[in-house]
Amino acid sequence: MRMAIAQYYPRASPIHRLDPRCKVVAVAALVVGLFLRSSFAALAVYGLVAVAGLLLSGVPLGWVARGLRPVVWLLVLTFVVQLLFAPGPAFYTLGPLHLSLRGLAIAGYLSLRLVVLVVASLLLTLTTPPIALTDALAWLSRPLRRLRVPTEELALMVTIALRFIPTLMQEIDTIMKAQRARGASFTRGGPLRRARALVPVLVPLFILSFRRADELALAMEARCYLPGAPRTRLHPLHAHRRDAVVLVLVAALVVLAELI
Amino acid sequence: MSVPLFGPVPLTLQVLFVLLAGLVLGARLGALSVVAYLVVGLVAPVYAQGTSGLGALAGPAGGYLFGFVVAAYIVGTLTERWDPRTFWPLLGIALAGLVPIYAIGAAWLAWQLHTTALEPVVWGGVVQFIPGDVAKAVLAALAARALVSLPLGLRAPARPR
Repeated sequence: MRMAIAQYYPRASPIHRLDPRCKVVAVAALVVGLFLRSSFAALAVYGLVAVAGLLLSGVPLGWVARGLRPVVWLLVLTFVVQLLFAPGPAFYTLGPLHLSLRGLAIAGYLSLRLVVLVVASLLLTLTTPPIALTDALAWLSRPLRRLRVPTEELALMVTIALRFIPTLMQEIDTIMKAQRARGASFTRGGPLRRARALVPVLVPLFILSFRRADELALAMEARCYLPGAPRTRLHPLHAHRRDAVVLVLVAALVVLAELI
Repeated sequence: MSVPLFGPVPLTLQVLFVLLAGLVLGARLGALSVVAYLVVGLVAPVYAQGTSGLGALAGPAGGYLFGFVVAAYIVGTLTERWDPRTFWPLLGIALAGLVPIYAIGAAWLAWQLHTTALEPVVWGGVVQFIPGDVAKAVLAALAARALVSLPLGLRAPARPR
């Protein structure tokens, strides 16, 4: 069983080289901007920014399309809801169905907005390794420490989770094979029976995970790990002039989009 | 996280693990672990069907993700209060945990789809998930019953009667 844990597409592009903190702020600004103003003009600006970023990043479009596939049912739902249930004059009547013109416009707008939203956020995960992104989030959320949000600890939890997801997938695979060897079947019977068949997988999985967590905590304590202590990094984040330029550019475009 | 168990349709185990987090870890740790899961989703594709990032959280289906945190907290609170160790109480609490997921998820969905029409939101956003989620609640209750009976230090030992 294999699982691609990161969507990261390694490449030497101008977007990849940007400071991850700069990329997070830029994408967050786009997302907030998208929701602040509902107009096709603003949407066009944000769409162009996202597409420009995508082209600059040199990530193959097929790779991006894969990231868009899961939102298809949301797009379908959007059209169903708006076309069939929106008020307004019908442009087409089919039996009891009234397809409304206003609904079509709203559905088009909402769908495009969702696509731009997903592409913008994909731009972030496609061009930044997960660990760099975690470091950026930890740095950006440092002000929250004043509100006693354990940001460093959360970042550590995320880093550990990323490290252990492949291990856990492997573990699930091993347990399932072991239970099959003992005669278990995960494909026989109705949904309820199949759900029951998973109990002998989940219980060892939890026991193994708790044991692993205890061992890891013990190992960290043995190395004098202190939560929340000031910490240095192997790869410190460096901001450059180009990051400032990108931020100013994005800010200008967001202002433009909100004003037109 | 989804595991291809049931043929071509991926079974997302999100709801299962959210319910188990509350049933096994309690309110505070359960909710915290779901928050950590959401943060992991910001940097890696661990949400349903390999989605990730701000786009998933801010998109139409983001309400379910926020609902998970509330669900784990509520399930954990009920677990701490009643300390259930048998199947039916555990199942009842797990089913109660589905309510905030649907409520927040569907309300968010309706807001994002700019609609006040109830039928499509309820059908597309709640009803189609119910059979699978009930199966997951049963599974969560069964697994939790097995786990609390083991000496893992999950709960205080049962009071002698």
